Amino acid sequence: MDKLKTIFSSVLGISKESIMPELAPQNCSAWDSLNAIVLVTEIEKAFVIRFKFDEAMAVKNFGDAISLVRSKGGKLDE
Amino acid sequence: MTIIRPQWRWWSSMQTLRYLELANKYEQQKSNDFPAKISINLVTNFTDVTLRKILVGVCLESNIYPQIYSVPYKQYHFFLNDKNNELYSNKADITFIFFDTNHYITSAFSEDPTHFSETADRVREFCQTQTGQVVFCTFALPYAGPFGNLFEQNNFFSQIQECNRQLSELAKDRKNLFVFDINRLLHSFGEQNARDHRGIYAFDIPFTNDFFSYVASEWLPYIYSLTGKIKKCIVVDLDNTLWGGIVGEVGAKGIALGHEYPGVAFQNFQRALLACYHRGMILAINSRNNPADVDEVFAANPHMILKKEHFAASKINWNDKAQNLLEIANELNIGVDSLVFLDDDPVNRELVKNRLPDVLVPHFTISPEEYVNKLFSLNIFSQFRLTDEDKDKGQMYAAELKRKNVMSSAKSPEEYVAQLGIVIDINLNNAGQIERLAQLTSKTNQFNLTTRRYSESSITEFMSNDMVYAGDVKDKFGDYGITIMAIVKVKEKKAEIDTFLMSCRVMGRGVEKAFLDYIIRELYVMGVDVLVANYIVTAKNLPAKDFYSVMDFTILQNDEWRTDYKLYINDYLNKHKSANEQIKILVNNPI
Repeated sequence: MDKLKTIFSSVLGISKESIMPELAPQNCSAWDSLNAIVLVTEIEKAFVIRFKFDEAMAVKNFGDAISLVRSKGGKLDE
Repeated sequence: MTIIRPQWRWWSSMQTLRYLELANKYEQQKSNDFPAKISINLVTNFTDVTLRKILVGVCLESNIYPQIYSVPYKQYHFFLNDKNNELYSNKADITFIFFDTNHYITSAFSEDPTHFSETADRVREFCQTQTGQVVFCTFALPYAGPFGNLFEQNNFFSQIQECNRQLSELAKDRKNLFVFDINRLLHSFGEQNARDHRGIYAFDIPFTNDFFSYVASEWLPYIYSLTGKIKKCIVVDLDNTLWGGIVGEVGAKGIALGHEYPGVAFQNFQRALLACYHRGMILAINSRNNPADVDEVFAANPHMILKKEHFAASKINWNDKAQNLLEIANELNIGVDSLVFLDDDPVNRELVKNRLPDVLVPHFTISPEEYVNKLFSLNIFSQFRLTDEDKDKGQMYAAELKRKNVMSSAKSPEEYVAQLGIVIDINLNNAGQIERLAQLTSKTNQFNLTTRRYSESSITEFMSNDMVYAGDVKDKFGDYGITIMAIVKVKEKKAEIDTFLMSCRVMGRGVEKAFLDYIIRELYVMGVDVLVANYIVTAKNLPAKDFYSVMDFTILQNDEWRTDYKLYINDYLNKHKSANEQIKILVNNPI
């Protein structure tokens, strides 16, 4: 989980501690459409997975991101 | 679907995240308490928010605080056309222009062949209005498409080739325009790893984040050289860095060096270092060894490419390597921040990193066949331009070591100077030297009486109205190049020294005295009675403080930041009947 949190924290400029499953564009102003793209591309790279466009766009909060990475076989707990 | 992942050897994928993190922190701080900022313009034809952020991070990692203005999305044409906007009025220190055309999607450049020449014209005009530097990236060449292996027959390919050709023509035309070859980067990174196809179609982001990181870090040397921070000296360890094995154990002829692997890899690494030396890098040794063992290698191993004379400083002892590096910087009279240290031993590297964070210490626990690649991937070699003086630097510093040996055997400073056989070749108002003289006024800090920085155009102006003297200094060990200059303004019987400076390379040899003595005698012939001069205090020019007193000027006025001097030329000539004989003056005045 640390890897995923590192990505969110670096890209959005927030502390790792503040990252909860509820973290979403509505409560984090840095999570704008452009950073959403960077999040997707950095997650794909870090976990060596590839999202479909619609899947990536359906991520509405950090919790969704966790499930999506898992469903693609990304190893969150390494 | 399997995806090819860039297992980019020296490119950790975490690096991009690190840049983003730094950029976010910096932008959140908002405060103005950062030291001098470098202002940067970014002009692209795609969504460049990520590139901009990464560039901020890349700068911050090198302790440069950037202020970046990027032209609004897709509006570069309008911004280059209309001169009343921020792109022009920012007067940025540096402007990066990066247009992408690709055969996945159409753009103004690919749709309309005249768009490039139009844009190039705008860029030419833009450069004219700017005092800062402008870096224009070449266009990426497409290697796929409907012609397959016959890609050169592809119109689009030849069109882009033609644009790139015109671009280098344009750069010859404008002194502040530089071409940055994006194809060199694509070549080394691989187009498959650099292109983000989904990004191209969905967000108009044509490259991967890692490629942007690579581009930004390759732009860094340009930004770096604006701050005067340049890497000048490569310091190498010996055992398992310059050759394989430990010479103290296997002997001068037992080390791995020669025609077979791994010796051939070490030998090639030496060739690469030699190429750096010929490009103007200073080389130095920092090794824990017995000096006699190392001498034996230089003397007896026929496979050594690097000879003793290529090294400007050598620390072969059992002291700690950080201390040695300090001494090397001190001996060469360069900043510790201009050193690069290559050592295969992680313990030594960590020690140096901790004690001297300004030294560049790359990871070097790698196989010898990777050494050359690693060396050239350190982005320390890019600069706006290299003058002939720059290229000779490695040689000049190495000659300095020989002079030191003369100095230690000479009985007096006079004997030392006499033994060097110094010759100063003096030029007056030689237009061929303008570039170098402007560089001298901007780089010389220590022996600089007034520290006035002049551009090439100011020097040109001085040459037409006043007298610009330049000295090309050499001695029996080598050439120092143009290292001393003076700007003298003459009004009838009175003359004034506007600028007098000398590069630290020639300090301590009486060159400055002989040079000024020559000028004083010249002024006398011209009918000048009085020469006035001043010393303006800066944080660094203490070595020049007493120069005019030593030359028998009298103090007119004196306060803590400035001293004004005056010299009656007749008095001077009465006291100094003939010129210094230890230093020979040659005069070369083009009319």
